[in-house]
Order: sequence, then C-alpha cells, then structure tokens
Amino acid sequence: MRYLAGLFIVGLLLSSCEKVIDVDLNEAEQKLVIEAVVSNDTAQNYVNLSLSGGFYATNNFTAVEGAAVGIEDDNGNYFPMAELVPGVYTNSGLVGEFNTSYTLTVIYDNVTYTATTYIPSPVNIDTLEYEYVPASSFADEGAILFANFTDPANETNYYRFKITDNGNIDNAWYLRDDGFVNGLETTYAFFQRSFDDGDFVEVEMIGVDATVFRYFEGLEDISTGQGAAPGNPTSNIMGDALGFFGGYAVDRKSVVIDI
Amino acid sequence: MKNYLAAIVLLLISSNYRAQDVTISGTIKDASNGEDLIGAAVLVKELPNVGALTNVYGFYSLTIPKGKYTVIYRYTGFSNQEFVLNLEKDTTINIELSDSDEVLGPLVIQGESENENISSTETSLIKLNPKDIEAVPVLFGEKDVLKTIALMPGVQSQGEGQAGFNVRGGSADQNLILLDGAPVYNASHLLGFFSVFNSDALKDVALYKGGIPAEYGGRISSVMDIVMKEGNTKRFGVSGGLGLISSRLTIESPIVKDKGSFILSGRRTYADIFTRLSSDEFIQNARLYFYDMNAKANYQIGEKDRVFVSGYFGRDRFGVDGFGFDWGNITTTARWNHIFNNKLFANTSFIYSDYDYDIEIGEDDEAFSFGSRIIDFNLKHDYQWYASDKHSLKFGVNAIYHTVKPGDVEASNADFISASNIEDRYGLESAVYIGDDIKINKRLNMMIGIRLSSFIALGEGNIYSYDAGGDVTDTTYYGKNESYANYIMPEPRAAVTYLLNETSSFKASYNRNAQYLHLLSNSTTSTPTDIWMLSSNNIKPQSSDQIALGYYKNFDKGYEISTEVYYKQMYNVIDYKTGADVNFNATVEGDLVYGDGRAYGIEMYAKKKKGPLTGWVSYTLSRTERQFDEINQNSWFPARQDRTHDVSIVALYKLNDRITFSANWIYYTGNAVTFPSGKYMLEGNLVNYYTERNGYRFPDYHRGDIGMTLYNKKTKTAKDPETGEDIEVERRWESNWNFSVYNVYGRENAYTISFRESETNPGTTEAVQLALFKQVPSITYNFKF
Repeated sequence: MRYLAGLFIVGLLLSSCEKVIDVDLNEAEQKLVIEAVVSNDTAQNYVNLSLSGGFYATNNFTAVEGAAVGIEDDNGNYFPMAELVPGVYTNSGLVGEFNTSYTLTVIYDNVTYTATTYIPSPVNIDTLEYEYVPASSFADEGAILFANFTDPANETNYYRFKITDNGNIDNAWYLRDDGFVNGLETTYAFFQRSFDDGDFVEVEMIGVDATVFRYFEGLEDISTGQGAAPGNPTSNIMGDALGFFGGYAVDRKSVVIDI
Repeated sequence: MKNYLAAIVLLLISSNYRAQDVTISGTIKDASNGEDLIGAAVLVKELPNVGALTNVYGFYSLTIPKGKYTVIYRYTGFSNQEFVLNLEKDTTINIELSDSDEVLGPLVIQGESENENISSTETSLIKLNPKDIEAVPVLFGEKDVLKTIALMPGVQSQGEGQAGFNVRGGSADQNLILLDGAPVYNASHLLGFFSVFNSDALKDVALYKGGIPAEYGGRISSVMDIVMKEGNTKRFGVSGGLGLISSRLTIESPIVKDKGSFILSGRRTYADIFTRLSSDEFIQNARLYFYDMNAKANYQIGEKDRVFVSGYFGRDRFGVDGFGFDWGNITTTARWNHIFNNKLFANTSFIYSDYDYDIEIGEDDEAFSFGSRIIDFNLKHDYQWYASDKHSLKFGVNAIYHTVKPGDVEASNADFISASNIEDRYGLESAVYIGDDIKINKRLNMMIGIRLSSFIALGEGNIYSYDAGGDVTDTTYYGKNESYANYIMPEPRAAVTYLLNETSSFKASYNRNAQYLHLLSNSTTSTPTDIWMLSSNNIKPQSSDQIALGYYKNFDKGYEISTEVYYKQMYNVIDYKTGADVNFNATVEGDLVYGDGRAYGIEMYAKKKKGPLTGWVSYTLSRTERQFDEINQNSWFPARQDRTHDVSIVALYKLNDRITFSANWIYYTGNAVTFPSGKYMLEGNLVNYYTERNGYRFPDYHRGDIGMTLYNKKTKTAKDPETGEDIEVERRWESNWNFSVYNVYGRENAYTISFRESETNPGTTEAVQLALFKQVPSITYNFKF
C-alpha cells in the first residue's frame, strides 16, 4: 500500500526528490549467519556459514571455516557435512525426503547452534502459461507469467516461487500461502515483472513449513521496507545466530516465451 | 438502570434550594445567522466572580441572590449587551449578540469570553474556531482543522502524508475524535494528506489533551470534540470555494425562521479529471478522488425541546485497472435537547458510526475483494444540572454496541477463491459518569468526577487462546450474546484552578482513562487499512493516568501565555511481534505484545490576539517511551512519535481590511525509527541486520509557509433611495483569494529513508532519502452570499 501511495504521489501530483544522505549507523557486533537447506533436489542440500558485516562496509563477508556441521532426520539418520569450499558444508549422500523433519547442528567457536525444519509433501506446478501485455506507463511491453497448481485441501500450504530468466536468478520474493485458495486449482501470477520474446524461464515451486515461510515474509518485509515492525525475522535457529534452516519440497518447470 | 434513575431523583431532591435565590437561564445566539454561541459569558456587574457560560447548545443558567443587577452578555468578537434587571423570580432571557464593530485582528483563536482561559477548571484544553484559521497557510490551500491544531503545544502531526496526530505521547488511535458526538474511526482523506473534516461545515473544535471531563471516555490520550454548524436560521446562504485540489459548496437555510434550519456541505477533489485527459489508457482509467458530505438540521419544538439530525458521509476511491481501493466513514447523530427547568438541561443522542475499507483485485469473473469494517450503535443520555451558584453538575449514561468485521472477503467466482470471512467480533461498551464543577471561593474552582466504564466482549464466535509463541492453544465456541471477557474500570478525574488574580492562575489536573478499542496497523504509520480490534480475552483494555500542572497569564493588549507540564503513564499498550501480519489474519491477537508507556514534557505557549499582528508561538519539550518484555530486552525505548523539541510559530498580519499576510514556521526533532546496524548475505542477497527497535532518528524536520488573503471590498456605492445621494452599503457577496506557498524555502524533509547498494561505489551500501515536497504554491477562491 505504501508503494501505491508513493506511486500516486510521485506520478500524479508532484515532483518528489530523492537524494543520498549520510545516516550515522552503529556498527553491530559480527554475528554468525547460517543459511542451510535440505531438499528433495540433490543440488540444494548445503549449509553456508558466514559472518555479518558493518552496514557501510563493502560486501565481503567472512566465510566461517572449520565449524562442525551435521544434519539428522527424524529416523535417526545422521549426515555429517564436510567443508567443500570455505564456509560451504555439504554431504552428497543427503537427499531430503518429503514429510520428514530434519535437525541441523552447527558447532562454531565452542558454541552449539541447532535448528529443526520439515519438508512438506510435494505440490507440483501443473502448467506454466504466459500472456502478452502491451506497454503502459507502469510496465514495459512483455509477457506476464502464470504458474498453475492444485492446492491440497487437507493441509495448510506455504509456497515460495523462484524464477531464473536466461540463467539469471530473480531476487524478488514470490510468496503465497493457501489462505485464500485452500483446495483449489489455482494460479500464481508473476505480476511484478515481464518477460521478453525468446526468454528461457525456469520456475521453482518450493513448499516450506510455516516457520520458514514466516521467515521469508520477514526477509521480504526487510527488502521492501514494509511491515508493522522492522526487525530481524523470527528464525528457527536456536542460539544467537542469524539465518534459517529451510526444508524444501521442490518442483521445477520451464518455458520459452514466444510472443 | 432503575438504580441510576433513582440516584438522579435523589440528587434532585437533595439540592439545597435557597428561597432567596433566583435563576436566570436561556440561550445565546449569533444575531446574524442564529447559530448557538458556545462558551458565551453571562456576567453580573455587581457580583464579580459570578458568571455562567453557554454550553454547546448555547444554553446557560445562572443562580444568584434576588436583587437588582446589571447583567452583561459577552462573547469575543461580538458587542456586549447589558440589561438592568430587577430579579425577583426565575427568569428566562434569550439573547442574540451582534458582531462587534471593534477592530479585531485576523485571528481569534478562542471564541470565549476574556479571561475564561484563566478561571475555568478545564486544563490542557485547546479551542479552535474554524472560521478564524482560514488565513493560516496550508498544503494545497485546503484549510484543515487537524493540520492547524497540530501547530499547538503538545499536539504533533504524524508528518506529511499522514492525517493522524499524536497528543502528549499517545498513539493516533488513542485520540477520540467526535463529530457531533459520533466517533470518527479514520480521519484521513487521500492517504492522509487531508482530514475528513470540511472546515466550512464546522462550528467549534475542542481538543482535551488532559483533564478530560467525565462525560468523555473510551480513549486514553485525548478527546477532540468537533461540533457542526446548525445552519442559518435567519436567511438562505451559500458559501463555497474553488481550490487546486478540491471544491466546496455549502448551503444553509432556515426551515422555519428562528425555529429551525439546515446546512448541507459537500466537497470533492478532481485530480481524476486530469487523469482522464491523459493519452495513456492506464492512467485514463485510474480513479483517484474523495468526496464528503456534511448535513445537519435542527428544529425548536416549543420553548423546551429541540431536535437535531446530523450526518457525515465520505469516501475515498483509488484504483487502476485490476486494482481498487476505497474507504470511508459514515456517521449519523439524532439528538434531542430538553430543558426540564431553568437548572436542568438534558440531551439524548442516538449515534451511528461506520468505517470500512475495501480492496478489490482482479476483474470480471476473476475478481475478489477483501476489507474490514467497524460499526457502532451508540446511545447517550446526558444531563447538565446547574444546581446552585457553587455547583454545576454533569451526569449521564452511555452504551455502545460495537461490531467489528476484521476481514470480509468476497469473490465473483467460488472456484477462484475459497477463503471465508474472519468471524465478526462484538462488544458492549458502557459507562456512567458524574462530574461536578465547584466554585469553592473567589479564588478556587474545582472539578471532580468519576466515570465508571465497562466492556463486555460478546459472542457469537470461536475464541482463541494463545501460547507465548503466538500459536493457538485452545478454541472455545461462545453463543450469541454470550460473554467471553469483561472488564470494569473506574476512571476518576479531578482538576483544580487557583486564581492568583483576575488575569493569572495555576491549574492542576488528574485523569484516568480506559480504552477498549485498539487500532492495528500493518505499517509504521496510520493508513486506511488499519484494523480496529475490540478488547478480548487476550487484548486487555489500555489505560492511562495523567497529571498536568499549568500556569496561565493574560496581559493587556491581548497577550496571553501559558505553560503546562504533564506526566502520563500508559498500561497495556499494544505493539507487534517482529514480522506481525495484521491484515486478514484470524489469529492476529497472537502476533501482538502488550506493554507500558510513559510520556512527560513541558509545553509553552504565547499568543497575541489583538492588533494588526496576531499569532502564536508554541514549544514542547517532551519524551515518550514504551516498554515491552519482547522488545529491546525489556528496556524503555523511544516510541516512534517521541519528539524532543517541537516548535510552531504562526503569524498573521492584517495590512488593511482587504489584505492579510500569514506565515508559519515549524521545527521538530525527527521521529524515532528502526535502522539496521549491520548486514549479512543470504542466498546471494544482502539482508539488513537490526539490533534494536527505534534506535535511530529521522533528520530534524523544519519548514516555512507563507500566504496572503485578498478580500473583496466589503461595501459598495449605492444611491440613497430617499436623498439620491451616493452612500456606502454593505455587500452581501463576500469573497477572497488565498495565495500560499507551502515549504517556501524548499527544505527537503525526509518522508522515507531507505538503504540500497550504491550506484557510484558498487559493493557498498548507501542511505537514500525521499522528500515529498519542495515549494508547493496554491491558490484558492472562497465566496459567500
């Protein structure tokens, strides 16, 4: 809504002005950042450890090397994660199972951090569609993409979509829960962007649990500056660390735009 | 109810009626249009320190010993009327006062008798007559009582683009805004650039920052009581204005001369007329406007009864293809004044308030809409009893039945949307109150009162309990009108005024207030999509205790100064867990946190009311903090509206009868805000790292505005029908041009501050400030005949 307000104000009434200013910010203590994913997709099982940095420092974040990292499923199978490159820990034997809980343990600097996540049952993209939209003042000419899927009726589902356009990852957040569409054949429309003729577009549909979904919503709020109370998203990590441990049920489809 | 009536009867009987006393009572009206004069004074020359003021319906009652007196009727800006009366028995005197010929300045902020601000027991009260602020420069030339009242000490505008205001550290939802007694739940138009109040239809605005009289309740920080005009009872009249943004038209007329009248006032913006001229289809189809209507009628039935019906209807619409957003208020008040006798005045009101917003997405068979709504049915029964020359009592009852629809959803096609409505919530808020204004002696006046309020949360519905993490632990079904939570809060009120002499006084007040309705907002500021919630098993009532001390002094030549200090403690105030989602969330109560607030400060005010140069300077030094177990490790932290310094200067200069210049200057400390103190990388994207809530500040805000108002000649030359000579006669047609420049020196004040990767130095982060306005010139034409 703020965005619309801004649009209306900027576009129709006045010349607002934007400028770079100096805002004096404190430098927070460095914190451990855990980015960990377990999924049914063999390419997406990793634990990435780094440290946070000063807000105005350059974007070089220290990789955390030499941590002890492991993931255990709810059947007691334990997967030790080895450091592949500095800060990135993997185990090629680990492939996530649907409807299974996983617990992550990270020991770094003699401090133990744990997190538990759940990979929900899979929901697949039925079809990908697109539609030509002519240019307007608010968007360029192009194709709007739609992902059709069938939401299961007997559970609460949380989805995240990820787009790769000609190999370029789209950083925007595409999140949807089934609050309005439980049990329906429904569509997710990627209204925020349009695609050009000939684009090779790959869509990943990722089912996550409620905690991870809320965490992503929190990241979206931060990236867009929205929300009732800005702050670090509530994480599933136990211990004084940033980041999350996500259990992903991944389905993938691709399309070539022809308009 | 029975007990309550018995109590009134008892009170009536026990009044110590002294046979040697007589009571004069009646009404005081404006001779030019028949409008009731509020706060006009009745004084007795032979009895200094004796007097009465008219209430909001122009009624007064004054009890004095039998005898021969000179009685003076007085109201600022009007000619006094004096009568020598031999008072042997109770007498009714209805008076009409005429405009004074005395040259006043362009500004008369208080329509009250001189020195009333000194002797009244009302502390922390701001009064504003909409007529008198029209020369103050404002954005787009839209005169606005909410924007102007924010130039007073202790009252803060939330900022540009936000119509909400904060009073003494309270949040925007802690202000009770009444339009003819009806609560207005969202006072903003056009995403907050304007308030819903059309100044043309308003007669009187009073804002209680503290020392709130017992007849008001329901919010813990302030009461803004706005009274609409009754309409001209003498003759038909039209007034209006053409501005850059909107146009206004008001019609008023007698129904039966001197017996009844009506007023109808409307306003509409026309930005959408320009968008229709656009060649771009998307912009052509954009809807962007608001309109509002105020209507009121009153009729005098016999000597003792008068009925009023008034209403407000306003709506904002905003939309583009495939997306629509609209919101608005409806209020209706039906009121009956009855004068039982020359000492007892009664007022019964039935009030309806309704606020809703609606968001529509999609078109045709794939359209759906969702929104939220609050509806009130409100019954008030109030008495004013002028018991003796020492006691003047107010007492009454009030009951409000609230219905809240937190989330209603509608779809054109059930295959498309499966969501169902979030259950409605119901509650009964009721109160009994009594307050006594006591004249103890020549120097000491006192007000004591108590309000006993209660709230009962009623079914039907499924009521949830939550654990500390905000997850539902229990769901219980309650049947229709079955109570699932109830609260009773005694709210004592007291105020003392000690007159040092006729022109200076000390005042002190204490106030407890309770609040059973709470506004949830999905952003850090007020927006139309904010949702009202009732108190429940989870949401306890908010309450506050406030003490205020003040010193008031009037000088000769129309100067006046005042200083007040206040301390306010607030309990059970609401904030959000990080990442809380307010809209369309059935279990939103689990996302809330409850804590305490405190606010304290000193307010200084100096005003010049007479002479060609008039205006005021106001300065507030204050601190406003909140404390929650879940936020900032339970330590006190500044509330968003915490402003250390807040300065307003308003100056009006009347060059001659036709030209008035005006200027404002405003300065305040930037709002508290949450900024990141670090950053980190997730999935290749930068994420802000926050260490505390509201740990930073926006840059200080300041701005200057200037304006000029050019009036047409008040008289014209005509031939005297008898002598044939040229004479000057008064014109019926009055008009003026108002020119203004908002933010005249082009200060870029921060509307938002955001952070992004630097364009000039990739790999680093920079802060970017968005300012909405540089200079905004505007021109408005106003007329009246």
